[in-house]
Amino acid sequence: MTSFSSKGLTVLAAVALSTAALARPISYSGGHMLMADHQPDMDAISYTYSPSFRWAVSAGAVRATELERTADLELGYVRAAHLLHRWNLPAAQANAFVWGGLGDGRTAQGNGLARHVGLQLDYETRRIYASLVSELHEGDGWSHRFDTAAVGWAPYAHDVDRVATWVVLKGMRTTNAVDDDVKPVAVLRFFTTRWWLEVGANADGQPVANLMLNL
Amino acid sequence: MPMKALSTLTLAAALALGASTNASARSLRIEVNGLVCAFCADGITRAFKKEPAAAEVFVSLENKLVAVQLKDGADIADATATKLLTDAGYTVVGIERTDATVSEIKAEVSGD
Repeated sequence: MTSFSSKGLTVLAAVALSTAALARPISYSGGHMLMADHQPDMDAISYTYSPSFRWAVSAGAVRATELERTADLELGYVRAAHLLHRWNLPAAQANAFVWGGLGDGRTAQGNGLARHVGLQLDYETRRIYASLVSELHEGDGWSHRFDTAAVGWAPYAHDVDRVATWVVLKGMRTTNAVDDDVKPVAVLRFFTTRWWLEVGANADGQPVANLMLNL
Repeated sequence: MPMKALSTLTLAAALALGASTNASARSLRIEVNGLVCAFCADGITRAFKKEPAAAEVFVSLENKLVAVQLKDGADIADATATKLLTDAGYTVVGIERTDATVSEIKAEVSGD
């Protein structure tokens, strides 16, 4: 695998994971969701429709700038996500999600079919959040797994009439990549019933942002 | 009594209880498990607003509560309310009917 494809796929993974790791891959029944994501080397948008709280279909596009700026990575994909199980507790909720998708990826080597599958486990109260996400991306001659662990803390317990505020720390790791160290990211998360915003930085101080809208 | 007949009677009783309504009630107070996130709970409000008998909806994460004010002379059966919340992804613990309005329930739970 060339340096480009490894780095490019690392960026792609960060994009794909940002959708799953920062939020749930399924909205409420009948919900439409728009997402825009910015990372130091990429921008992404996606649209998700959930016909029920157990299923969602998404379509998205990613444009990532390769770190050495010798080429860009462009991806269009469709994805189906399924809620395997939800645990509704008196003061908490936990979920197990799976998903899979296909995409057309354009790299310096040309166009090619890319496929991915993923799993997310999360647990959330009104003050504590934790999630584990693992996503496997494969194409002809390459395979990478991307793992993300996130923990969050809310300084106060929000309600539906108040903006929620969270501090979220993440560790991200990519297998078969040029750099497979765990990379830390810290963000502040704000959300209401209709919108969701995350702003923060990676370990190098580079900004990251994520915006979602419930339509 | 044969086991099958006993099961049928038990099911009938459960259905009768589940379909209970009270046309004089002004609101439903529904205790719900899994209510932790405003972004996700928005689906509950939207689901009940599609219900013709619902006049107003109030969700309180703090109190694990969904309150639905009924239109005059209208009602929502317990089974219907339970299905709306189950289809939204939540678990109903109990449903109580009250003569309070949603505004009064809001004031009560917020301590006003």
